[in-house]
Amino acid sequence: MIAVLGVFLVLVALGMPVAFAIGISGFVFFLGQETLTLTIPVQLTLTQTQNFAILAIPLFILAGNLLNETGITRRLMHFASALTGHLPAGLAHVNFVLAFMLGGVTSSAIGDATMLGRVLGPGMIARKYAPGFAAGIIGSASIITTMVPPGTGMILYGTIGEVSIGRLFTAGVVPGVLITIFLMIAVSITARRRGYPPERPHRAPLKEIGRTGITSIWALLFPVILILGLRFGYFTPSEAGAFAVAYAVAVGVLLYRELTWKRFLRGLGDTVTDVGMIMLLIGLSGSWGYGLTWDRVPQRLMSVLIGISENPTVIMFILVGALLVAGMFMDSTVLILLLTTMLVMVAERVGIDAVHFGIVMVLTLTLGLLTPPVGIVMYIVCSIFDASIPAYVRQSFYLFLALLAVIVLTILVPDIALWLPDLIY
Amino acid sequence: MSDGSSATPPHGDALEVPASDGEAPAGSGFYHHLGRVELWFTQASVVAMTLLVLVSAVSRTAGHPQSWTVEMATFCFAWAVFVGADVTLRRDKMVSIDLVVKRFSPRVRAWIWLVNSVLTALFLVAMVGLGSRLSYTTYERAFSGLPWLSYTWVTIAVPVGCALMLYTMTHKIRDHVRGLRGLTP
Repeated sequence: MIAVLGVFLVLVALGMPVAFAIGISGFVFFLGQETLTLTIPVQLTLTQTQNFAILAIPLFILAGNLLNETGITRRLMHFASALTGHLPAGLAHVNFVLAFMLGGVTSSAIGDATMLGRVLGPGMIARKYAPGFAAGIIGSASIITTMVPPGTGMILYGTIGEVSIGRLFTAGVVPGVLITIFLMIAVSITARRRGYPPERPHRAPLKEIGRTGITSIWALLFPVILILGLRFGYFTPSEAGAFAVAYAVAVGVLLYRELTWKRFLRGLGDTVTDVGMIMLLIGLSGSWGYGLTWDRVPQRLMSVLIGISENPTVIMFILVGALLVAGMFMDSTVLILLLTTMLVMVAERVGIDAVHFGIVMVLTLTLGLLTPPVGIVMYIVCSIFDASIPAYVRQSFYLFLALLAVIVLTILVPDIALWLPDLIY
Repeated sequence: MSDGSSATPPHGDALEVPASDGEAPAGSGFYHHLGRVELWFTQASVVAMTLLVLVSAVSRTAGHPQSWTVEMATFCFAWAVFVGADVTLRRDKMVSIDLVVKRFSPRVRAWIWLVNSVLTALFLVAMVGLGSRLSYTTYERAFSGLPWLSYTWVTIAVPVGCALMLYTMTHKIRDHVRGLRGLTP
């Protein structure tokens, strides 16, 4: 597998699309094994798509894209503004609260960063937020999405690692709340220092909060329905995804009446591109999984780690440190795909709860979306605000610190992740 | 990570009309016509898949589980994935990392792109060949639980999708080589 890894890294460095780099390097493994036939990688690629559980990913992506077309984002923004607009740097707080609520209907950080930038970016520029700071706010807010159910990272981890997706979804809620609070504290510190203005002079009257809350209720209810539905076995994660699509169409057509045929087709078209990108990766990574198992890589990694320490927390810190570095250079989806089987095995053997580990792993890897040198969300937000990367890193330092603090806390206090799922399961 | 911008030839092609996300690509000729058919086909597969999963969920809740709906949903999904992969490739939306490459001069980058693309095309040729062989050998095997549907019909999605991507790659490589010639004095 070392040759495979080498080929993969060279191809990725040369700018080849990651999906093909995975495919070609996986193929190299089979070329090197005389006992294996070459049709196996094709079969493995196909098998990856023939897993009913993985259908949840395209379905939730479709649901999120359709909900974006229903005008739900605007309604949630009014509600978030009524709740937090009176705080210093009000727009930033609105952004975090909006991201949290939006996280309950959308499933990917990249999509949310693009959308939040489009919706709230112009306001931040008008209020003269430092570009690097504004970029950091939108970027770090999009990380909340990955924790609040549904999230593609969780579905992927759960499917590959054979961990309950319902429990994973539930486990993400408290860390999601914590990230939101920590980010709001970090912004308050910066806001007081720089004197960024509130959005509105006074706290919004209860009546306005109530009114905007009611118009947003269909978005706010969704994650609750999702968690309860999975808990009580009304649907499997994939069925929940299909239900989410139906829900989006119903809300868009019957309640908000903004989902036209044209918008529906646009949402569907966006989904095709997203699905083509993610699923080809997933398909072609099949031969990697096979190769890793064939070469007994998880077992080897385990013996190395146990040689260092047998304390689960220490092992978790080592793994998270490695994931943090890997996440800086590689897309989180790719890493979840390639590493989950191996790491879940390691985690369970040393006595770390697989759900707890999943939350920490997904959160750590998505942090890489925000950091140089290769963070896709970082590139998106920096281009929105025309911010240079050094300025972005400097001005958003507190925000990154807040996210890191949540990771460390979640490692040290497993109950942050496990309390809610233990309560309702 | 850039969302595939590095997969674009560094000196773009005036003929290519970049399609905005979610909307049907413009342009005439077989290449573009095929692109519209692919988009339409993938959209239809995604809708069919969603409906099938819904029917499956409803029928199970109603106490009459229909296992064929699950099988057909994964069947539609395989086709959506492999044809959709080409829709993504056409739009240069494949994830790639341009961290190292962007440090080179445009000329070197253009050559690297060519090498990558030829390698990818060779990989796709292998996938088409091996996928066809696999489709042929699985002819006798029925698709799980559906005796009337040969497993070949789902297997063939792989070589078909890869053949479509191969066609797209050769199209891109051809345009790219024309551009390279233009770059050489």
